[in-house]
Amino acid sequence: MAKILKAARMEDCIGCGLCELVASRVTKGKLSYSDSLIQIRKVKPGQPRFKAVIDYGQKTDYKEIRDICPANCFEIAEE
Amino acid sequence: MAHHPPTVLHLDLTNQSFEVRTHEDLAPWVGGLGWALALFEEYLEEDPIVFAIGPLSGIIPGCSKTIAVFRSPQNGFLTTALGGGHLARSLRFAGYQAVVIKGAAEKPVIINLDKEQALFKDGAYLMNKETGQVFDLLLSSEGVPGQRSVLATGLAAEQGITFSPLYIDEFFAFPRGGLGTAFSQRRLKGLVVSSSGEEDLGTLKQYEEIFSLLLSKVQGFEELERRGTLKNLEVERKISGVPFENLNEPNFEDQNQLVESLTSPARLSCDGCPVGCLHLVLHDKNYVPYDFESVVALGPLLGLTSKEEVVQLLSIAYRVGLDPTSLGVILAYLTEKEKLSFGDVETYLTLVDALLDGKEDWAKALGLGLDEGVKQLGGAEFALTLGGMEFLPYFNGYASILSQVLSLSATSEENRGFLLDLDLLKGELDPALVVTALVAEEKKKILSQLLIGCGYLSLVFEETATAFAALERVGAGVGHEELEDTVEKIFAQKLSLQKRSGFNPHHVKIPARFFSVPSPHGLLEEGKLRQMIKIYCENYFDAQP
Repeated sequence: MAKILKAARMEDCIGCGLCELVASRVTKGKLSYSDSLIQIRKVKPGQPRFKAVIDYGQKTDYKEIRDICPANCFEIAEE
Repeated sequence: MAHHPPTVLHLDLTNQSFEVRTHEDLAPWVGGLGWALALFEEYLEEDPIVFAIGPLSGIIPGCSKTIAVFRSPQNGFLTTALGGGHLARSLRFAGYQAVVIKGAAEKPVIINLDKEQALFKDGAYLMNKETGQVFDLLLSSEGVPGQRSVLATGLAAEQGITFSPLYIDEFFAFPRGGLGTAFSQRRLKGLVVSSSGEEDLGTLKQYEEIFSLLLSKVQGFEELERRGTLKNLEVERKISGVPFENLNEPNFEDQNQLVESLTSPARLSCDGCPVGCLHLVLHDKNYVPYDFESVVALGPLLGLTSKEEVVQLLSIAYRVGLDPTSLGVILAYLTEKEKLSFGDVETYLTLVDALLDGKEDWAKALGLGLDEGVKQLGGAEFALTLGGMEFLPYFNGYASILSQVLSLSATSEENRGFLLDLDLLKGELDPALVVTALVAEEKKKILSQLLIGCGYLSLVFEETATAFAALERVGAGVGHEELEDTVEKIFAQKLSLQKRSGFNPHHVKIPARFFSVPSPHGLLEEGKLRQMIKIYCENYFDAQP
């Protein structure tokens, strides 16, 4: 089974966007939020809650992305 | 020599037009405050609002602030304010290092910004609504979710109340100084910045090194993470520096466990910061942001010490767009002036309604800020205002007051006297030494504001070696001596612009209350504080053109 990055604990996300920035760096060697394999979005206005939209059409199991999260929201697990 | 000329977006509200220009001439000013002051000076006659980020903004952990430079609607003087949220990264990835706003629109407008693009739109549909509703509407209609920063003014700004913040991404703000009001005066209701761009640094390995180094440094702020800036309240209680009931007392009994009960698991970070120091509390199914200043101003300063009461006031201030710190200081003044009872939350809610309504004479007067209100209503001896702005609600000693008298800090994030007072508790208080130490701290702050790092992480970004290394590794290197020389020049420029905006430290009135209640340094002496102002003016301020 292939391993993928999973947003397992998004209830702890503080919306810092470090994962988005690191993802673009490790996958594309550039800095971008909009062209990152992870997009962090608010669940809805008025709430400090976020969801992660992950592009699974590419390799995602980067430990750099998992490890950068200060709230430990990610894990790398089998599909 | 720095080689990082900023790309500046010029917005003309009068003609609803824009221009994007690279300012080669601003390269030596490094970034952030340096660029913002230079642009403010260049367009001084047009009364601009300037936003600027720095070379590290949006790509280095903790460099998440945008600095705003403008004339405060409260006192007309040059004012700086720091704002977080997604704004710094959004400006960077929209391709702008600074934005200059000039003129005024005829009708309320919003502006949608992206790379090489500024769309002016009708903002009428956002008027006369509470802060949360404004963001609901903007977030559902403007920009791409997750790739934008949204700025908006509140209801109080529309009413002309001078102490209305500019909100960022719902819960963040440019607090104090009335930037929301400054927007409203120009009929600018909101600004949406989309961050669709990307960057190729070219020196990725060097960048990764400095990224990791600074990440490790900003990860060490555990108490800030756990309690937010409210952590300061514990410190203040220990040294008896919490103004209670309009500073009739310098401390309060925390029988209701205010700090513990407010410590919330709901928190947010600015972009690129692992700390998450913006804490939120749930009230009537709505989240309300709070910090140390707002809790003290709408709590102990009003004789309120229970979470429920304080949160009611935090909530109404946020909903109607009133700066909570200024509001608390004004309500405390009114309580004493009108001989009302401290600690009566229902009365305070009624007063907020009347203030917003602006029909009664006292409300009209205080809607212009406490300084203006006192001119009409009297009671200057217990009106806790300094230099045209309501005081920061802590009573640590000379340095934190001096910093406000000199208009060097509208927020705790910028007030370098706060910690200096704590350091000075250990030794003899010599006026010249206090001034010298405060100015040295101010220059360190400028270094951070060039980059532009968060003021709550000042230990990291005010260190010259760190600044030097970080700038070099992102390709914006500047010589060590040149960096220090630039800081000196910017300090002088800031003072000069203060002067040109009409500010004079000698003219600042200091309420007698400050000299009748014991501070952690004992009773403060007005003569000593005036001596400090004199020393500062002779050595720094008066020499400026």
